[in-house]
Amino acid sequence: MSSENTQQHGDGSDHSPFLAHHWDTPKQQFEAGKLGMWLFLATEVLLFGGLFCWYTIAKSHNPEVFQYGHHFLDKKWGAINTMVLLFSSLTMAMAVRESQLGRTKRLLFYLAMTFLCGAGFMGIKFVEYTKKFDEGLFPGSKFSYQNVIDAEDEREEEKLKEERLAQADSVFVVPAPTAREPVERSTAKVPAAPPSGLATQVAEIHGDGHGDDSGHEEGSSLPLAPSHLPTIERPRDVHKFFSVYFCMTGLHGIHVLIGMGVMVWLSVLAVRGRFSSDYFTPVDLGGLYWHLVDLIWIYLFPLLYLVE
Amino acid sequence: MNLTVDWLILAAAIACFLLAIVVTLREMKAAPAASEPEEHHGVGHISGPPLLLWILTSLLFLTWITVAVSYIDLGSMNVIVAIAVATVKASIVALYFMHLRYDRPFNTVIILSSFLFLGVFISFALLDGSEYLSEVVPSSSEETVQFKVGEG
Repeated sequence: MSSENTQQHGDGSDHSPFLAHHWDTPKQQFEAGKLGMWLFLATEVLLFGGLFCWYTIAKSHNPEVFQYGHHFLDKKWGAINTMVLLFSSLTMAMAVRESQLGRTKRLLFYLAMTFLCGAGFMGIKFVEYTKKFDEGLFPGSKFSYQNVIDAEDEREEEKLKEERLAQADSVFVVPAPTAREPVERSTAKVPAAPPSGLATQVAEIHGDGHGDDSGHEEGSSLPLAPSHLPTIERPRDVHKFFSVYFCMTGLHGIHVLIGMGVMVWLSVLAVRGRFSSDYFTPVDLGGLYWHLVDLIWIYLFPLLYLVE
Repeated sequence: MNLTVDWLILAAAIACFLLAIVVTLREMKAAPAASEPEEHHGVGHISGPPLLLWILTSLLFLTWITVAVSYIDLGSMNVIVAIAVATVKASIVALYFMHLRYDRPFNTVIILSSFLFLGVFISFALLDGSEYLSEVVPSSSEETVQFKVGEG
């Protein structure tokens, strides 16, 4: 070992200031760092693996819970987040490239872009989580069925009202075609003078429906709007889906936050001029971490948002 | 609403595709002058912007396929297609963004072995999973299950 070291020092010409003394060459040092990073990434895969196993078991036991629960997730936000993360992977790969070429300004630009993409991802996650919490869809024992049941009752009432309306239309109006006009106008929110006694009742029911509609719009007093409910029937144990959802996306979100911290750290090092085309290992390894976070989301998105 | 997501992804993919073409053409024009990888001293592999853009394009197209397929009911095939497409995407990310293709093969062995053990973990858990189900989950009313939430 020591003889090799002296040989290195004796050489002088290819001795990089970044080369630690226990390595023969910068290449060996770089490869060893990468090997360690890949070992770490393997443990990360297994860390998430526990949750994926939970997902698989839970879904094999209660597939209907997942089918029902995923209707509460917004595909739109999930897809946008996927694109944000994919784009951030591109900027990260570009950051690695610029650090390899030793162009610090461009490196800083791409690191900032990656950081912003991570922030955007977390922003969207914040919007999604806030909506779930407002609706009482918490993970674990905090999960509340109350809002879901309220919304179901509300939907049931609306359905009854519509049925009553349809009945009233068919019973009272069909035999008198002349009386139909004002009734239809009243559905178009024009309060019309009813021509006959029978039609008055119909108009009243229509009017009732309107009053309820406007009340429902201003009254987002219901935390969970009935229109947000899945159309399929609610199975038992819906909370199981949300426990899985919050644990998996939550652990992933923590990883994104850590990744954003890594971006800040790398930027500080870059500003201090620590990187050059001879030494860019931290950027490369930070990039590997960021790509792994992206890779896990690639699996999470279809498994949670696109269950059909 | 659902259609917009679909089209949004496709639009992004096409935009990326066009950008990739432009960058590739520019690179080809300037190719003889700027052969950067050859100037490099050999630690690590440098990927050019055209390649990275093509990779992103393919990833966005695959995302679009995933979302589009989710609207079609293929029964149990839906999950298989989703996982297959996700695996293709993950391989592309690992091979090109994470440079595995140019790395020493041992790194690939490490990450693949982690997936292998994950597969063993999940498949054995699935074999055994329903074995004690009756003891863990009392099959009765909702209230009983609600008590169980904190523990399980």
